[in-house]
Amino acid sequence: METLLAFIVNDGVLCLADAGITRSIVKMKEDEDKIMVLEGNKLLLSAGEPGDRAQFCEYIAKNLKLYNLRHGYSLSTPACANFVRSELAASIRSNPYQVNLILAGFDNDTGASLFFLDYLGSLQKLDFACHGYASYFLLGLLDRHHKTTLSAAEGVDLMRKCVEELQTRFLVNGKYVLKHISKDGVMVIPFN
Amino acid sequence: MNIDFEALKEPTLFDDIVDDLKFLDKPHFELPPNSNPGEFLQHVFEHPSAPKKLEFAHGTTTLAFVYAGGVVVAVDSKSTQGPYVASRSVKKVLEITPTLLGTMAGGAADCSFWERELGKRCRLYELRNKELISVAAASKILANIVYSYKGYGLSMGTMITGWDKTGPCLYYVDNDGTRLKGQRFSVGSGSTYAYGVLDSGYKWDLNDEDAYELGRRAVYHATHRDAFSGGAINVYHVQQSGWKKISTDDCFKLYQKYYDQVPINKPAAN
Repeated sequence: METLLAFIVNDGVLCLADAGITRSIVKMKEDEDKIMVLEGNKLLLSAGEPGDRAQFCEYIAKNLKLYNLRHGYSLSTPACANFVRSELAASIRSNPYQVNLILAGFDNDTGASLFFLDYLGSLQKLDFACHGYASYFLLGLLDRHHKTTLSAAEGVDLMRKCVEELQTRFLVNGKYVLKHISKDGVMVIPFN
Repeated sequence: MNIDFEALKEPTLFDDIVDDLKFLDKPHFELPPNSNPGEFLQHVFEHPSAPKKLEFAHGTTTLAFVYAGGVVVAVDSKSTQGPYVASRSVKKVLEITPTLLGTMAGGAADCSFWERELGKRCRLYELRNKELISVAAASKILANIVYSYKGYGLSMGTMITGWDKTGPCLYYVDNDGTRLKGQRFSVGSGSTYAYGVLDSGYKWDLNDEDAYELGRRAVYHATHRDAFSGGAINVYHVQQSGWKKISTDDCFKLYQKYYDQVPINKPAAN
């Protein structure tokens, strides 16, 4: 019942993730940050099997760091998305990581980009992406309201509209974390 | 002409043992001396006269919380196998090192074995690095161990607490590799009842006595509602200087002590 949502705005990408960790009927935590910052210019949103999520994201982060140390420069966002996809695809027939991901990033030469990945190893470049049951409510809303020309402030308003919809129609509710990535780096936007 | 059939031979018992010896320097599970232990064990346990599997301490209430004065850990002491009460005096707080505490929920064997192993690794870390291991690092060692055994049937829900350079610390680690930092956790079949008391009575600046009483009271109420929790309630306090055992109280004595206090589950007077 986890929610990941991200969409492109005119100067970057806005990313939203729920902040809850549940085990059966118990909410163990409601301030978990599921949006990992990679190399200062990419955001990796993750949801899925609890152990796999932390383990896989850390594995990706450390490998990106290793790439940087070896070559003296970082992977671009599309290259990173393809790397993550290949890792998921390599593990799917043996020891699958049960994690669904969204990767957002800002590269100085190509600008903002957004990728949707699932645990089966599919990769899609999109303008907006959503994982979880929340996608049943939000994809329609975003089809109607989302434009890539939105300013960051309008984007935050659209995020609020999305969360409002979840609060009125979605069974589960909790706190969220919102981050914005642009040429100036990552900014955490107070949201709850 | 002689054909060499060597390659077709099944590995012998000797080959298997030699193979197993390679792993002796690492912590490992003993396996039956058989080329396919999984299938072998399945056959053994399918037999009608096979010994029943032992699984202790499945029902449990354990809790821990961080407050201004450190961490309070409170646990029950009942161990059950199905409806049978195997023991009423189990130590569910595991003293990992003089500064680290762990709790036991799920399989008792898994918890005590791997938290003992964790104690060893923390001590080695201390000898190698000339400083105490942080609680974050210690809990991560345990999380990485259980993650590497994911899907092999380990059963543990544990809280790792201690006081390091960053102050009092509390982590929750369980058998599917989850590792969470937090302020209040409760684990086990009675955890929901304990959460009810703990969350409603919790304040950051509780004094020590009130904190002990909150922990004790939360587990007490859980033992009242959860049939698989009970026995005695042990309370520990993690301070800067290390952990200290505070009390052991029989649940029935507590029931008598709290009986006249309001509110409690006392039948209404007619």
